[in-house]
Amino acid sequence: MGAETQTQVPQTTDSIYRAHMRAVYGFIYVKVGNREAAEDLTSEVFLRAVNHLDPAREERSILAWLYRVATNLVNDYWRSRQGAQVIALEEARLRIAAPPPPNLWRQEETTRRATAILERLPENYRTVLQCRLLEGMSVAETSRRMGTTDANVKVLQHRALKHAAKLRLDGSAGE
Amino acid sequence: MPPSFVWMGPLVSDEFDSLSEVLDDLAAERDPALRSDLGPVEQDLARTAAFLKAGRADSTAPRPEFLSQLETRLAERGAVPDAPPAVPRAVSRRGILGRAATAVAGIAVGAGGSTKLAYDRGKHDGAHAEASAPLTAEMVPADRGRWMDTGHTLATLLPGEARRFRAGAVEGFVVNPEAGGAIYAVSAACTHMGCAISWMPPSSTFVCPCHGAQYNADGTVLSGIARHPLPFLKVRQDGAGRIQVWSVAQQPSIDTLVPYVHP
Repeated sequence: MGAETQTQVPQTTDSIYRAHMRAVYGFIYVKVGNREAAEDLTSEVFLRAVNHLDPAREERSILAWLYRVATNLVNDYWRSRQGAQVIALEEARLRIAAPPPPNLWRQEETTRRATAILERLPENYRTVLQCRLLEGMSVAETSRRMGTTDANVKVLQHRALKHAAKLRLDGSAGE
Repeated sequence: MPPSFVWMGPLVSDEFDSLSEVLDDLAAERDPALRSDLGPVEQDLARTAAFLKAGRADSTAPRPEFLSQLETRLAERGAVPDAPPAVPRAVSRRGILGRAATAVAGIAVGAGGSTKLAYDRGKHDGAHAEASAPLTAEMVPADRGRWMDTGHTLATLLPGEARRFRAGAVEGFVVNPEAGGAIYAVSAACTHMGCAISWMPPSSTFVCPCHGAQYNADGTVLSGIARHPLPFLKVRQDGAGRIQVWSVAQQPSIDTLVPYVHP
């Protein structure tokens, strides 16, 4: 019943924003990988929308705007973390994958692609990333689990991510 | 006797350490500290790590407290009202255009109250329309409209020419068709985002400076991002040959306009 009344609410900017907060957060989270930054940037997107976006726009146009601003903020975020150098790889990737506006973020798609990448990694690479990223284990915990040294874990995770970055780039180029 | 070497494991350089610290931060949901030693390669690896981590659905779900806080902040800014906005849609649409050089005709589309304009282009829709289709659909103020002078006359408007005008709240072009036929007027507001279009005499087309949409002289879409044709405006000539357009005098107050910053 609640869902029925929900659908009858006219599409105000308010309801559009509310309906897409989670997705925009997820879209940003995937690119920054931590809650702190994702919350900051998500807030920034919607506060900018409130200040600058014309509420008379169509929903589709509002969504395209939200995701474009989110993309810009994420790029600024990473750029600010690297001084004057520009992140060549990610931006090249963004250019390759021409975004069909509005490019709505979906968890299932991220999960599918991330899982596919992990599955294609050699076993020790997959294990080190599962420990460090998915289970949140420390370097020391991971080295104990894998029966190796801390130094080795650091090298392994570096190599594993390099391998994964390549798989990801290959995957997105075809999309 | 040569010295014996003991394998101590690989040498771990700074990049390995700093990347590892970034991963520690990500695992703790902390924003990694700014670090000058994170080179482009490590940064790309950090972004890959973020992506792989986000494959776990529970990590990408926002905290409910965060969502409710954000909703509160938006509501406090006054822009997320529960009721429809007090400012008519038509007025806020002007915000897109900026305060100068705007095509006022566009803002009245879909407006409520006194500035309401109705337009129905019927079959004359989009790029599929024939240039020779009857120019029947018009955009006219629904009420409180009146005939207003465009400043152009039949004598000064040569065949194949389009002249810009502003009459009350409406901005458009009066066009004298090159092939002959009745003079007509189209809105000067690009149907994409409302930027004021320009007339290009050599090609007899309208071009939008914002995103490059192009329209034929009859307002049908020629190319670019716009999907809808330019609405027609109701025109007539008075006894002295002056071209008049049906418009509304009222213009939106400058105070109610919403500033717009292109992202």
